[in-house]
Amino acid sequence: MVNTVRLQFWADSFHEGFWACDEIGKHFSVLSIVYEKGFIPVFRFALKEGLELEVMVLGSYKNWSPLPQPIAELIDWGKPDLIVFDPVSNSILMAVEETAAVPTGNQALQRCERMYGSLRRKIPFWYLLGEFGTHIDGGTRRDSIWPTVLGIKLSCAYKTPCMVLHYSDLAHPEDYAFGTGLASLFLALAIKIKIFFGIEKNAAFYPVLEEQYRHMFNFINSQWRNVVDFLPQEQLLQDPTIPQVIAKFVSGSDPEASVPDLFAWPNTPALPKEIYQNISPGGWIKDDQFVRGLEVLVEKKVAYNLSSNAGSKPQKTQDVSGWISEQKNILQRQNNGNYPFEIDIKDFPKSASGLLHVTTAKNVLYLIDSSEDAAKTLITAFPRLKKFSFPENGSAFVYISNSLKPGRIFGDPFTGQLSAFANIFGRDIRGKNIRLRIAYYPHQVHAQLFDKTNNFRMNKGITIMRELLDFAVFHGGVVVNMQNGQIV
Amino acid sequence: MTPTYSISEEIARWTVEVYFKQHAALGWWLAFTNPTAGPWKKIVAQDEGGFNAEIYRFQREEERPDLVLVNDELKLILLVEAKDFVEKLVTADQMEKSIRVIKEMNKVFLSIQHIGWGERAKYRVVSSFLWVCQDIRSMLIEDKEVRKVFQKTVTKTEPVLNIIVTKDEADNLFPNFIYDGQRITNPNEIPTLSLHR
Repeated sequence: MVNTVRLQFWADSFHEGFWACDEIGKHFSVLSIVYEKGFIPVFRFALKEGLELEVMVLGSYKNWSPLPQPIAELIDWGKPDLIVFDPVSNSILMAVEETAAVPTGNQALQRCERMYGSLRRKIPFWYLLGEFGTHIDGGTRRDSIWPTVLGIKLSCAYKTPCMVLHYSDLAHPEDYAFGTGLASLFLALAIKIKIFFGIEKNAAFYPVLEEQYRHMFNFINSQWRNVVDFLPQEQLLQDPTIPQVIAKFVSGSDPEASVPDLFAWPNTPALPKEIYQNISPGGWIKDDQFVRGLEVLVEKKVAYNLSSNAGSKPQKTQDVSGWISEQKNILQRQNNGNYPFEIDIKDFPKSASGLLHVTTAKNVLYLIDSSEDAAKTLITAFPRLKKFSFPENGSAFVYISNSLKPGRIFGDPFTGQLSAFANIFGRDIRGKNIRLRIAYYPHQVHAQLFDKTNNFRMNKGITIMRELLDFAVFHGGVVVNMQNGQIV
Repeated sequence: MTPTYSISEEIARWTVEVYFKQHAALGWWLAFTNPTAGPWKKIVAQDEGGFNAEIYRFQREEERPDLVLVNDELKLILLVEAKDFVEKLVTADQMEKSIRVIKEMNKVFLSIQHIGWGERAKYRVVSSFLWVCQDIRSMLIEDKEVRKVFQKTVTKTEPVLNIIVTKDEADNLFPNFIYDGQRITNPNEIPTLSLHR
């Protein structure tokens, strides 16, 4: 007598689901492949004597109806390339994101909102990407550390695996056949399936996770110096016991495991001496009163940036002009001109090629020792705020998005940046908030957050902002309390 | 229970890929397919052992065809542009883009120096359009429309292979092949002699 259990592999394309089945076939024998309705692949695997697994591949999410509710909710945060789904329990076993290119610059943080979107629902998440890639200029690039740092922090905060694995090597950039990531990913999936159907115990997952966390720590250890000047607790990256502790904690084999504080960026007095001494303002491109104030805090060494390599992407004059009009219209429509609107195209400096810079600060993130200083800086920049203060004094971060196009801040790459920065710098390894979380949108009007009844609108970007920010500062110094919607 | 599906370019293209997987004896192998993402942004060539070697990688912004199929016995390459429905294929912009891709890919096939590509650089390239037809009775009318717009845009007489996906009585999707206006059982019935470069 043969029993059959069933899973569905939902995927962005049929190829990705088929590919996953092919890879799983390296762990379980493939008994047959048939195509329902002439195109829907159904794989049959031998799991063990008397137990077979049927996997149906459903490619391209948008083409299926009804979408199971857990899948619909997850893909609202960006479509993972693969979702392993159990139709019986209506639950997701794991989600996989994979990318063929090595993301650089802003792109490196693009998928971070998917990581957060999955983890906030405690859905295990794997991100497979190239460690080495060929840039458009022909040079070789190596992956950023931020998704990997985020993966470790989210894993511990939500006690759920959030893994970043790499394929390729220096000699074979962007090549899936090299590096350990591909094999490691599908080993994890095979073990997960075995555990799910009772063939293995939960403990079987622990060594896989340990190995994968070890890869993540080794990667950060070998790469962080190319990305930032300073990485807190960097000595722990080489401690061989840390991946073990985290794997035990996350896999549940030791839920009380003592996870040390990791990646906890301190206030300026606790910075290494040479880093503290070298704190210096990075400057700005387009003048902005609040940014000037933040730069003063850096000058005084009571705030710092992580690095000073942010670039600027100048925009066409016509686009800038159109976006300014749109922002003005949104503000007037929603608020009858009750809030200041002073965005003027003359204030946007011209680039060498005649386009207009929208970038204010050259750094998009400031870590500030005292939120009181941040409040005073806001009042100086925007006198209308008068006696404004934050609820309690503590450290803070200010994340800046200079985007001018209406609605743009609710999508990639800004929601990805916010997901990464707020979780990495705003929370400790256990997920506890450690900084007041402030975002500054100098070219966006706050009215975009609200519907006609002055309640928060519903979209992914606003959900992320409400979950990961305490305050958002919009054009003209309009401060919105993101927890209760109160406008200052 | 299988959820219900709606037709898309992805399903149309994949149905044709499934056909060639299931009809391996016809001798066609997949050199390139263009799903939205994944490790497939490269053209591969099969060696004698059936292993794939990367022979060309598309640049990020480079326009790509939707499918490239190769038959070594017939010395043919099928260069396929796909859409979900015929209406989208025959717009002026889309047909111009399709023809641009066809021209560029012809140059690419000729320029590939990789040893794994070898003699294939000399194979005849057959332009092909792929879409789904909801009503099989309209299939030949749609075929005629695509050929008409193609010939008008390309400004020369060139036979095309249209691959039109329809449903059978059991609700299964399957591809129909129409070459130069004539329905053929499978792409191996393309008259190869007249096509060699």
